[in-house]
Amino acid sequence: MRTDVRRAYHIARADLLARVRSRKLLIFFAVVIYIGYLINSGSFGVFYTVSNGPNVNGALTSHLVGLNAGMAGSAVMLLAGFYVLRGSLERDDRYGHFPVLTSSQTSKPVYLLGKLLSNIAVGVLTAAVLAGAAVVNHSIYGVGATDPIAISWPVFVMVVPLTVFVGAVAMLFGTINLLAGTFGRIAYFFGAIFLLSAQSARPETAVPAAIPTTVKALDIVGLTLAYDLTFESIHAAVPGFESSFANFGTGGSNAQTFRYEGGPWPAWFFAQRLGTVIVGLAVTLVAALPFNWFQATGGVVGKVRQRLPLDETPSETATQTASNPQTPTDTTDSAVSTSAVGDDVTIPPVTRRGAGGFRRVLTVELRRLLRGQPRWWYLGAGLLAVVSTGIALTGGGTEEAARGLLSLVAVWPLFVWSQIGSQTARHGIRPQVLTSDYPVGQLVAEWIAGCLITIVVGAGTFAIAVATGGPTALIGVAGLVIFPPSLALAAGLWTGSPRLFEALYLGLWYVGPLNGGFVADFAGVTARGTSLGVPIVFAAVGVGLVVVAAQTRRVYTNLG
Amino acid sequence: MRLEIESLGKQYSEGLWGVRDITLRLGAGVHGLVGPNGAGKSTLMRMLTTVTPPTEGAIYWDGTRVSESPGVVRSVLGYLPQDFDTYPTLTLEEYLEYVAALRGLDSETASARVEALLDLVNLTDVRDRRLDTFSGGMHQRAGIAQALLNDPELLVVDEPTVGLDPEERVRMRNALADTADDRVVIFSTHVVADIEATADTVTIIEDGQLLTHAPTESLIQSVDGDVYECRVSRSTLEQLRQEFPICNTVQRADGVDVRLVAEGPPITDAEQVTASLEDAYLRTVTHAN
Repeated sequence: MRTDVRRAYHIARADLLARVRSRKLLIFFAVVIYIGYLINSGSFGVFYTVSNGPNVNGALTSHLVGLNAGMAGSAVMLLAGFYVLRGSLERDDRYGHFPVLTSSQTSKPVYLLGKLLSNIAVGVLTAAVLAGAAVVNHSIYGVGATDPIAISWPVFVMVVPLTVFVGAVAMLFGTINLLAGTFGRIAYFFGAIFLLSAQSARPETAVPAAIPTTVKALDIVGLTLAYDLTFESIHAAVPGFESSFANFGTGGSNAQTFRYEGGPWPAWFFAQRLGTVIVGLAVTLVAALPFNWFQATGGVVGKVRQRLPLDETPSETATQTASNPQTPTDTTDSAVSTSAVGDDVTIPPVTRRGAGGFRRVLTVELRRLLRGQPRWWYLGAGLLAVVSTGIALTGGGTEEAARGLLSLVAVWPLFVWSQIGSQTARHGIRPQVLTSDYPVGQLVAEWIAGCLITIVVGAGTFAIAVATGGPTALIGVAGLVIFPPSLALAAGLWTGSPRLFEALYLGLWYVGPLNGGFVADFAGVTARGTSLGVPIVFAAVGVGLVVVAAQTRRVYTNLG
Repeated sequence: MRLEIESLGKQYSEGLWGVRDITLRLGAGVHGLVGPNGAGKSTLMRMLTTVTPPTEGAIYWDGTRVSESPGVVRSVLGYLPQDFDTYPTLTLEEYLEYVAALRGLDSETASARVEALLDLVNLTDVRDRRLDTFSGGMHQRAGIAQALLNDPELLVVDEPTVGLDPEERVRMRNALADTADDRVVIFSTHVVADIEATADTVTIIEDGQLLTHAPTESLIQSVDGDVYECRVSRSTLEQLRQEFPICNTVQRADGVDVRLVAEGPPITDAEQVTASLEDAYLRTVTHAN
């Protein structure tokens, strides 16, 4: 038992050291600090929509700043923490650490416990960074005395338990083949959005005591907690206050102000956070079931495949025997003469160097991007292309259908876009690319290939959009074709991973094309976004990102 | 074709040099690069292949300064990096076609060379298999094939025989030697026997410094007459270790057979034997220390 605890501790320690020495965690902390700053400086904050008057927001007292920071930290941990925490198993797999662990008799639960402890440590660090920033923010922008304890403890109580849950889910996803890649990251995003939207199930104008238990149990970010804690303060400031929801946003400008000076936190929230931790621990144990040391991301599917004769892959020995039957021979170095091997192979010379051209690079990049996707993805992409083209050809499209299809075209090729930019670094191909005839051209070819695939998948949809919305719909088409591959290229090149792109892009897609937030509508789904030229702005930003990415590659290849 | 390296150096941080003050002139043929772990072999190769810019000095390919025109080398370069990897979802043939396109080959030439190189590296039967199903040895052979795809005039291979079984190792090094008549091949390895079997010249570096660069034969001749074998007790072996570079030991029932380099017989019944490159390498490195 003691040995296992020591093992778990050292697994956690090594994992945490690897994390804190990577830029990714530092960038995450920078994002957390920035959001904390926005929330606690009044630029962006928590406000309440009031049905019978102006919105309400709170004066930035120490207690409210602590509560706001806790909610902001929870929201960031829920939406972005997954992408930060999930690389842990993959890293050990990539660096060949699993055989060492297996041979050390470390059990899977102990290993995963170590990873869980590391996740908790990341949660504590995140909370500490956010709390520290909140104290500083309050001393600059706050109201009343700066109370570090009142500011800090809500952040820890809200963020750390959530980290246990998010980290455990990240581990579980990492052990299941189907969820280990882009599909898992998309699935998590929608799961998190579902958890957030569960708060909207609260009845309009409910007093805190009347809020259903299920809503409280799913209060993952603390929106209902904030409502519960501040309800009386708001009532004191705004008699007749009727609201059902706390929101993040800029809706608090020109609002009525309440002053929250703290008070006892409801027991249900502590129970909720305890439950979050318990669920996190349970998920960690569940993750141990499919986890496979030697096929870390193979999981259950991998195990089943190993037991069934699905892979008729010949062994290397069998392959060699088949392709190169050897006569019995002394295999010492001196016994095998130069003339005994390779003499029968004639390799044609290369007479024209540089004859392939950029088009061949583009062709192979297109093929590479399209390879290795799950079958259902190809099916979906084919259906999307064929059905929308059919509708377009028969003239049966409507503006409503065009909007729905554009939203879909804006997300389905995500699996392909995710491959852009990062894969040369991720799969160790960079030396071959950097020393090739097309070190920059390869990057541009990846980008063009991503744009072309978007055009093919969305051709029918674009035709419907133009037919129903007129030529201005082409603005949206330009944004949708250019922006996603460009963001993928730049984010992938700079981080060596598709995760930043996926996290940023899914957020944009959710706000813009899916929910019609015109400011983020890069695909021209909303009439207002299109009329304001928002997609063109995104397209221009996309082109700018490609130029900067190409310049980055030029510098890497000593050309810049 | 000629590769010239002038006072080349790579500094990673203040006081930390990967390699420093390397000057070499290499013509067609196989040039072995050996040295202990961390000697700077891979750093040197990454600079030669334009992956890493040098901090000081210059590299010239046929008189053209590579840092000013990296494309001059890239168009004739084949490179197998030490940490060679591939796109796992592509098949071997698709991957080679991919590299051929990046290397600027037209499709006809690419097809013909892929065909022949698959044969050369003994992977024809697995050309349609995804690369993530390959063993380490197969993976390494795929790496050698991709390095030869564009019929390179400058072929830089970093540890090409790592992970290969003895038979494949011999096959690969012989293949490299066979193709070296009309190209500059730079071959880095820890296995000195591979260099001895293939290389026209040997370059030994340690701690980023050039220890020696000489024709293989003359380097071996430099220790000719200084290599001895004898059978000694284990306690005597410890004494010999203090005084001479020990090249090899073989445990026997009545003691240990020892091969060492010495300027005279280390013990009275020591037998003088034919020198090898490994003997020369060990003496060079030991003298440097």
